[in-house]
Amino acid sequence: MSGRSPGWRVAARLAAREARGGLSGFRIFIAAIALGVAAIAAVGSTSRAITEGISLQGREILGGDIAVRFGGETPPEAVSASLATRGRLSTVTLVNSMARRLDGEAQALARIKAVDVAYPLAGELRLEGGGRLADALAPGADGSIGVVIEPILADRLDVKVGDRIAIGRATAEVRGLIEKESDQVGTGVAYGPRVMMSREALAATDIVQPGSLVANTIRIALPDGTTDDAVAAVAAELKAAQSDSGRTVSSRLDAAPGLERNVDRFSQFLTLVGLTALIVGGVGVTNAVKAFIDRKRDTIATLKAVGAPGGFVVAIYLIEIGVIAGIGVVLGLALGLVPPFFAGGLIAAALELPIEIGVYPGELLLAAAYGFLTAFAFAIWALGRAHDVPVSALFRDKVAPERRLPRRVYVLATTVAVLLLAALAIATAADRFVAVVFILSMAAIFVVLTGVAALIRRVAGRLPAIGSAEFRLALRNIHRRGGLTLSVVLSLGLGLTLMVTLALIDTGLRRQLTSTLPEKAPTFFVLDIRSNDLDAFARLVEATVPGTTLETVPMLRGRITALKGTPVDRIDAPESARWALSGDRGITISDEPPANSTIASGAWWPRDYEGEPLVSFEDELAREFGLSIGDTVTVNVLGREITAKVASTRKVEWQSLSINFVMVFSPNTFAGAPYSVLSTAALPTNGDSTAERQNEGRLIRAVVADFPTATMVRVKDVLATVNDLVGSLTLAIRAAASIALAASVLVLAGALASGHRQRVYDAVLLKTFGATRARVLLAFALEYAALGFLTAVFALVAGAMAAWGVLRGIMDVPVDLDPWVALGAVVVALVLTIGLGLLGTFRALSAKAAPVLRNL
Amino acid sequence: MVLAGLERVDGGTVSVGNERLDRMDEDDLARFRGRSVGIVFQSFHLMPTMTALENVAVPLELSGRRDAFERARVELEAVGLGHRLDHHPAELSGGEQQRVAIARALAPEPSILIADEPTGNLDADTGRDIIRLMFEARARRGATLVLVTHDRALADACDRRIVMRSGEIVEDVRAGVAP
Repeated sequence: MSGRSPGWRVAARLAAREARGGLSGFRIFIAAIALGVAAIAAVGSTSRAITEGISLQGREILGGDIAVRFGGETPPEAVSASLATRGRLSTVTLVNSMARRLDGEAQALARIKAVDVAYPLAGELRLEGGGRLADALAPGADGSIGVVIEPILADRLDVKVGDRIAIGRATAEVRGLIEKESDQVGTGVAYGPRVMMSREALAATDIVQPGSLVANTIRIALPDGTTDDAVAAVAAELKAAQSDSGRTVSSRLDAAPGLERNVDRFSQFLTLVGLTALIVGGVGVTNAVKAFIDRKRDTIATLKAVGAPGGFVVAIYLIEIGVIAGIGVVLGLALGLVPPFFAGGLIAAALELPIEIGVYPGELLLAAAYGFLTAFAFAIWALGRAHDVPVSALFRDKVAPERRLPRRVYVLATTVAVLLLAALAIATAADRFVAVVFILSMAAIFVVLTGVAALIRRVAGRLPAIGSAEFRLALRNIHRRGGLTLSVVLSLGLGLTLMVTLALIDTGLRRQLTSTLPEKAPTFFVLDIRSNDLDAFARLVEATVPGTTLETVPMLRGRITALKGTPVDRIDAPESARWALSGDRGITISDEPPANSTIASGAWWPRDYEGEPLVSFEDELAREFGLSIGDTVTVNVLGREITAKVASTRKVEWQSLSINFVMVFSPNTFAGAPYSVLSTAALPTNGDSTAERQNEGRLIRAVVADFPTATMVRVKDVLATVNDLVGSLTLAIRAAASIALAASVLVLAGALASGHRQRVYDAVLLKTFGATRARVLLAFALEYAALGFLTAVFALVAGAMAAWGVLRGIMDVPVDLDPWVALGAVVVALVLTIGLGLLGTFRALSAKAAPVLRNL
Repeated sequence: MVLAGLERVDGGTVSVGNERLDRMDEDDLARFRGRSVGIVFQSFHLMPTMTALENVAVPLELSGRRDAFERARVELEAVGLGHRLDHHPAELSGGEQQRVAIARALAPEPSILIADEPTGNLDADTGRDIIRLMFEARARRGATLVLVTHDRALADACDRRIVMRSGEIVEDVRAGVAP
């Protein structure tokens, strides 16, 4: 409003009087905003409840105030002694191995956790039926070791408390079942169910080998009452002291950074899906405001006739729309507060995560901001038309043709609101790149959908008047300006495109994980065979299942401590590459480039190379770290620092599931160091799955009997686990996506209902001219079906492209159009358009002719 | 339409008092109306969500008058609606609605009062009341009343009568005495 206008106070007063008309035209508007805001608020509050839970219970999760992780390195005495000056210590070792029944009938991958008597320094380890951990882990009189295990492992092996199992070279008595292990979140559960034993027992099992996937951690309990600041100070001090050793230090303040990061990323993804719901709802906002301004034409003209400038009129209605958006936002926030209570409980139970459910104002504020911005962005364009409602409309029925665009200031306001919306999504994103891609695709889909709607209208207008009267009527209705076409195509198109995209990504991922295993994919990964046992192992495999293809590579474990001479804690690596710098990595040595990889730059070292240590780095990671040929990479292997020069980079075909490593060193680098062998075993296939299963069982039994410290991982089991994980993630994604679809159904229903008056008029006229109700119905059904079908076709194309972009571009997985997804999209579209459309039209059919004709 | 600044001319100049309407933009015209012109429509055009009092107060509020509601009350009493202040348009008869519209047009004390077929939607008796009301107001305030009508007798009662046919002035007579 300009300076000489009556001002916001008068506008607010008039808006309040105007609002007495009630909310009848705004139900869809309010519901659409509420739905989107609720989705975003729910996702935000739930993820915040999880991260808050993690940080509040950081001490319990970490099992102490501070943890120093040594990876495969045994903590040096001097380091332990210096740490002991800080507080009480407890050393924990984690390693993978097999737990087996003594009769060899069952075995399972297990995550072994060896603890000392000080464990747990913080938190709780509770056994089913009570009992002290120290008693349970005490050695038996016969030299057997005592273990406590997770109930799920007891089920898998079909053993109970008191039974004996074999772990490595030791026999263990199951003394109890673990009911609660508060530091489990911090130590990971992905590698198999837990087996806990004493550190002495771990030595007896003999499963820790050079190259084993071992993680040693010293936890420190600082004196009681140590403040967060003091904890942070000690952690910083220790970090500085350990910075070039590659050891990592974390405190109770950042107990599970990886988990928090994953929660953040996943919740960002769900938030974007929720934002899609809001944007779909935005179409409903535009429709509602357009209809509102149409209804108010006389009032607007009257206001202008008595001296209100156009901008002032817009201000009055902007205030009204703002209040209505506020109702939607408040409703959405209230709704969004509910799911965390249910979902939070489920998540807490399923992942054994601590969760701190509550009202988080920051998250609610963000959801509210999204709601208001969306409402404004989608309302102001339509609202701007109020500026130019001519007063002359009051004097005559003929309405001047509307401008195609509102005034520049409203176009500008819309642009600014859309940019703010995008900026908010990007600024609050855990992964900016994903947010930018999402926003660009959303904008592209929006523009293309508008174009598609225009195209459909134009084609419908150009088609020759052939066919039945019903068909012609349907075509003319599709062509009608201000008709249903744009809102149906936009609202249904956005919702369906999202559904198709997610469905195709889901099926594509699952197919990749389950049915499209590469032909020569190994059956097993076998870990921890000692290098000098390799021949015996190969002979055993060949004797047990002849024809098995064994591939073996030396494996050591080490962690990167510096790149180009810069310690890793001072490297600002991109999010997608950070994993490679944290913790131990498997590394190998080789005289020749590994199979399924190609040299991308540089050259491989010659056979029997004897010069300075060289390394070949995986190409993509090398680029993310900015490594080029000749740069140095420093790794810590078994406590020894080794610096090698990058001689080449390799492109690796990870899908082959054959063995491959990020780093391959020239063999002279680790000459003399002890190592174990990692093998893949591909059993012969003959199409007889029963026989194959028997072979697999025979091989496992034979290998674990002769090599008790070896670990065998069935590839299919790993993929099944991943598939399950994808399944639960998809469930959450589907829940969020169904909100987007619900918003689109809502908007669609609103759009179809808003055409009701026109339908009644059409129906009455047609009946006057002698059309039966069936023929009228057919004409409308044809129109709805055509719109639904065309929108579904677009959604399929756009969804397939988006899914292709995600699968191919981000995950490098091929995509193919699942016929069921395609059919499903078409059916959903038709059911929605015809169903919702005819539902409204049916009433129109029975409208009495006389009053309608008199009024129109 | 042109006089009230509701329609723009294709050519020439439009002067009302000392103001050049053809040089004003949309918003200036709106402010000009608020200041100088009161309009009474054939179909009343009251705001359905507002009471009679609020309807009359709107132009006063727009011009920033603090006593908007008191003035509106006085105007409504002057047209004989002192007992209908808090009624909504839907609760008023056609004649009452038109009286509210007249009160609204007169409230800012415009120098020009334009009435477009003000009796077209009313029965004969009510129509006469409305006309009397407008003529009285004109006489009392010294404003110019521009009346658009198809009623020859009513036109004859005015000081000056301009007859238009197909957009052309065919007759311009200064005569008659107000009833």
